[in-house]
Amino acid sequence: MWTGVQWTGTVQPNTTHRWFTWGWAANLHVVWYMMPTSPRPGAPELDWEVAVERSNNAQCTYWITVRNLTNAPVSFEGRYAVLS
Amino acid sequence: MTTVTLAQAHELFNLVNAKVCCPANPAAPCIPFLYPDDGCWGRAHEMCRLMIAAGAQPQKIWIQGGLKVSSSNKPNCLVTWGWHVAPTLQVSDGGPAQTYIVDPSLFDHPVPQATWVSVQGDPNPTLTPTGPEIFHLFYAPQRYDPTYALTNGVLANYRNELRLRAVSPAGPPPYPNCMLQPAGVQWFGTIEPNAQRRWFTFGWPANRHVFWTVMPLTPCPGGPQLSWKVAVERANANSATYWITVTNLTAETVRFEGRFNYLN
Repeated sequence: MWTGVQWTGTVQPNTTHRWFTWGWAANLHVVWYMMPTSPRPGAPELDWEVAVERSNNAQCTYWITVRNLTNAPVSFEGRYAVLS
Repeated sequence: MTTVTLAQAHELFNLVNAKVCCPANPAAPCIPFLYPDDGCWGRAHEMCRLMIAAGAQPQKIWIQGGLKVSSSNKPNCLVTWGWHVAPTLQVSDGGPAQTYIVDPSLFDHPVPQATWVSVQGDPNPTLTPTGPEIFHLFYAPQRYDPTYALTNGVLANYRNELRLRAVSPAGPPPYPNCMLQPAGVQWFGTIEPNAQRRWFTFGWPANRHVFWTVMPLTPCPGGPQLSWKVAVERANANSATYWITVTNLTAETVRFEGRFNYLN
């Protein structure tokens, strides 16, 4: 397994934003998760959903929708792990 | 003849492969790679056009013989041809140039010519290399197609064939009966347009940390196709059942793999 940060982003208060990342090898098992870089103790800041597009026989595109659960902007890392 | 590096050959392959048609909605200018039965000369001419526009100098290779190719994109898993054609590139990373074939109907990356020949089931085929300008080597009235009018006609015809197959009872490619289940794949699924369906899988050791993902098998570039959610039931002291709900975000049937990984 290996991990990385694919992008950094900011989501405005109480809004949802979608990112996509393309050209991933479709045979890899990849999972996506977010980590806020704006500390805000006391409650969850972000949640997210993942959707996937098979762009051709070898590659795929991941579409990650991130929701800011707070009333302040939240910066975050878009992280991935390749499981196999 | 100008050579390209292997990395450039992959880029050129990806350039043409990105034009793959969505099976149930194959709109121009997509290339019907997922209908391997016929139409290779149209696909090859269009691929050469795209690669030439990108600054490359592809050629073509024509193969004749009793050709039989395994394909997961045909319901009976077998394609038979009297001949076939695909673009070629001269590839060198410093050593002698080697001929590589760009043929997304058979491979997901550029392959050496010997590899391309070896999967076509005839140990003694006739190979004829030509320039990219030859549209149809075996039908003199259509030997050339400088305006791409014939190319567009062939592509339109086989886009229609692909669509007819995708909306028939066979459904869209690929066909799971033609595929081996890879390690880490629990099931092959099919989900109807704009539908949500739930699958369950039982008997998983509860002490294992299991992560579930879904990967579409039916290519359709342009937007997300599938999303999913996982729920879990503790069936007894030792085992768990996972319930995976898959949502098809598109107006086309999508085949997919349900994948798992152990994290511990």
